[in-house]
Amino acid sequence: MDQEKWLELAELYAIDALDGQELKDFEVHLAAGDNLCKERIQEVRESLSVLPQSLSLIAPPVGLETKVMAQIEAHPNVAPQGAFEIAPPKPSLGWVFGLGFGVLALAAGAVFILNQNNEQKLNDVGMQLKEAKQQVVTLQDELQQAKSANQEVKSEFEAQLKQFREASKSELLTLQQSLKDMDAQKIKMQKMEEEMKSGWAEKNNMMKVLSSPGVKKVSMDVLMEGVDAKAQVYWHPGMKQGMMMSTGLPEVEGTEIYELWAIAGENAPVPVGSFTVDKDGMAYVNVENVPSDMIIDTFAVTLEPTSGLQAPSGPMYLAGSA
Amino acid sequence: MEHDSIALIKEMANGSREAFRQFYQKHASLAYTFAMRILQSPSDSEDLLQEVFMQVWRQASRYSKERGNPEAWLITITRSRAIDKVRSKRRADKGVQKVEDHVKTATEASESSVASKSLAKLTVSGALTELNAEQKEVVELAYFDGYTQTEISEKLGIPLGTVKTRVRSALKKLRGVLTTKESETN
Repeated sequence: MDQEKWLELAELYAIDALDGQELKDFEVHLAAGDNLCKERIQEVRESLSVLPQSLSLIAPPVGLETKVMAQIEAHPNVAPQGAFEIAPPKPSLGWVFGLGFGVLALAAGAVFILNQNNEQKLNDVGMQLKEAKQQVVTLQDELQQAKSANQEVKSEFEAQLKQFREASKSELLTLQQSLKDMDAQKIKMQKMEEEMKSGWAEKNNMMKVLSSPGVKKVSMDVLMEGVDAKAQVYWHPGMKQGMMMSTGLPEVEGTEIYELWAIAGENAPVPVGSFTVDKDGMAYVNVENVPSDMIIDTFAVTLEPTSGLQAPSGPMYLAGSA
Repeated sequence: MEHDSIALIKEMANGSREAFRQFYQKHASLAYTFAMRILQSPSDSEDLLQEVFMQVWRQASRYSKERGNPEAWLITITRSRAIDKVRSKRRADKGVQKVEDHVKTATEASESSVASKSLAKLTVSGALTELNAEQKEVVELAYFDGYTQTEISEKLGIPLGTVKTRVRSALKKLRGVLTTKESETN
């Protein structure tokens, strides 16, 4: 390749437009030492430096100067003595120089370009490495922050979940208890309702009996000394139903109970109702289980030690003829 | 002006932060504008500027006039880093573009691309106006957008040889402009 061709490549090289095999060949040629090419590269680059100066200038962002100054503060620049030398004006290379100087210049040029290229590449690689390291550190920091934030969110969520579970459990237990209470209340109410219904039915029935034309009133006499009581039996002989009402009977103790007996002639008394009295000595008792063929002529009340006895054993408090 | 900047670089090489501050204040706008033209992004340009000035600080002791005048040196550093970034981004965008191509029609994609580019471009005046449209196009694609000769050839649909010819003639004209300006200055 002739010199003119190399110079053409030097111009393209100067603006980084050279590529492919031509770039490789030219770099080898340049490293071998061609001052003319080197000069042409320099000349082109310097010429083209007028182009950016033709741009309408934009001021860099405010604060960038501070950043840049801070950067160099962190990197002191202590140059070795005599390192800085302003190069003398470029000598005009040509036949005026001897062959020896030419060889030296070519060698120096090659070394210079190699050094310059290597230095530039080393700087670039160093800078890229530094940037990459910085990015790794930044990413690690971000990752750590993300992990930490994630852990915090997880812990908070778990704490809230635990709190919610405990609250729910407690609330559930309360609700279950309320439900049980309500069930018990409901059963109680149902029982009361049944009792009331039953009571009303009894009372209705008794009202029917008492309002029937054949009802007899049997006044009971007090037979126990020191007891100030009054009692009547309303009795319907046809229906074999009736009711006794009393006041003034003393309260019973323990398992004691008053027993109403029906007596027919010389026959054994038949128990037709057990009862206790309230604090005022009042009592209402239905006359029940009267045999259908029994014709009652006397009602009597005794105080028995316990209920269920088929024959009187205790003291007689009241008695009345039917 | 140039001598002032050289003196500042010399002081920077000896560790003077004040010299660095003055150098920054003097040249930051140029470097930032240039970075914005290539990267089309304020945040990327800001990051790039930090890297560039860090490199200036570190390499101040190795500066020599053979590397060009201070402004050319700064512009070379800025461009080198910016082109690396823009090429790297373009490689990444190619992957995305392949996916997008499946969901967009070629027309839509083309219109969108043209629209976004025209919005993002910065105005260039001065030396570049000396070039004809074809020369200007290849220089802009190579110098400001970081395309290689093969990519320019594919992008514009013209032979590689034509790209080389247009680049060379454009650079020759620009060198002429510079020489004229230097003569006028002197």
